[in-house]
Amino acid sequence: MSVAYRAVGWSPHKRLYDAIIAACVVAFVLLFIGASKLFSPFASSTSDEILVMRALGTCAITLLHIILIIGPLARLSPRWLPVLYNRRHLGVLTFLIALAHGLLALGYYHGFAAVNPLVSLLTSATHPRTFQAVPFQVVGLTSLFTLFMLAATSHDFWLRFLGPRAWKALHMGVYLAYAQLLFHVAMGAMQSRESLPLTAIALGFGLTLVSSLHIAAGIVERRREQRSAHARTAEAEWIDAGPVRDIAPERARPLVLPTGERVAVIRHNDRISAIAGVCAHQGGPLAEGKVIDGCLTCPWHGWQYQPHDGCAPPPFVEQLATYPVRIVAGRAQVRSTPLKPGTATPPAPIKGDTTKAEPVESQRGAS
Amino acid sequence: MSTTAAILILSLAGAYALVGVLVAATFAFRGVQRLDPAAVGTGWGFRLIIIPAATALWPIVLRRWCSAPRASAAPTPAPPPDTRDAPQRTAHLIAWCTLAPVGVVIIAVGALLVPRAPAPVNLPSDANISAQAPASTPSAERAK
Repeated sequence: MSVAYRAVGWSPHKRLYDAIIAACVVAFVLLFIGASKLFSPFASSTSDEILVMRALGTCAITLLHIILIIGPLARLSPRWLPVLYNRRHLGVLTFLIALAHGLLALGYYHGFAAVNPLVSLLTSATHPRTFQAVPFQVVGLTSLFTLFMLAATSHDFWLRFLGPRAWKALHMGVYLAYAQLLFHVAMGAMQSRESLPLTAIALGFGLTLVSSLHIAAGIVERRREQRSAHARTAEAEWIDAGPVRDIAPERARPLVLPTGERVAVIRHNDRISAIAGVCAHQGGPLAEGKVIDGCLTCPWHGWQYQPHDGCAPPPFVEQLATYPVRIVAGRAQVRSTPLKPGTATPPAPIKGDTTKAEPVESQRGAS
Repeated sequence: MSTTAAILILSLAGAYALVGVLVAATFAFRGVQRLDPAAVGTGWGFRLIIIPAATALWPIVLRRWCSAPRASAAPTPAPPPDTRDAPQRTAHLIAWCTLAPVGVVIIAVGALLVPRAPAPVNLPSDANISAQAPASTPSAERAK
């Protein structure tokens, strides 16, 4: 959260996460090289440098597949959320491994030319109007640049500098990087003709896995959106948020207002309050978080907000809009007009039998 | 791509990167706190880590730096996000319904374009080569 920036916000959880993925990367590279030497029909004609290069490239595209499936998996099941927290470390590592692969390939295939290696790479298509003219190495270079932009801007400073919308739009470029890498690997394998069936099967499996998880997550999200759609009450300015008993203690429930604004209706200490439902960090779904230490906690990266005023706990300075809440006949109702970010609104208490509760309205803050 | 075009592209990219490094280094160690008060008092690690992206984005960085007020302000909260944004994850459904077929097409086109192995050529046997040797040789010509 927004206090003085650090290079990397280390925590015991992050150290463990990074240690595990580093160990997995080393094991993957060693296994790839060992398996290639033992089982590949081309082992005798393949140098160690080429094996290392291929191991790093395969590791990078495997990591990218993992990065791409973490998001939809976290949407489909909250048990994957811990893996989502440090996804940016995975992304930076993917870029570094891809960079190592690129530098090795550049040096091995173009480092002995009479011209600059990069010039050699850009002019490497030597057979016009043939399959060999497909510039798969240049596409690899562009995918490396895309991964660089994602890794370089992964720090929270750039999120604030560019703004959430621009930053998120930039980081949707991970799908562009995926398409570029798919092309690079597919065309490269087909030009070299080595291990072609295995490459085609692996790429097809990866693409199927990523696509199907995204489509499944999209379908689930659409159903959630439809379930959290608003219902108007007799008074136009109050929006029905459903029965109070449907909101689990120390949890929240999503609500979409007629204006399209998303609200998190929170139940904390048997009181109901409502704040804006989009996290100030990266737009995470606050309504899917828990109340921890008296603050609604975003499930994506753990940013917190106090239910009664939408403010992040000191010393953090983020503020979200708040909404007056009342309880009528056991149902929570949220006023459609938000208050200014950081405006305190005492929560509406849940009294006795929620099915017979009289209208209990939270004190209206300054509007 | 021709060699001339490749050299031109790389020269332009190199010039852009060189200017970017100079701007980014100066920004990281002198100007960043003017744009973001949360950068005040940060260490070398943070300042070094923002240099790569600042190099790539140096025109934007330079413009914001030049237009930022000189007086340092207390940390201010970022404007709250627009809660009307539909979560981009719901757009994944549309994106992947189109991207998945694109990936399949890439693989399929590549498989179709893979050149077939050349047809075997019937080479003449040694006996045939001897029988087809030219009748006129220099010694034969001298004998004539």
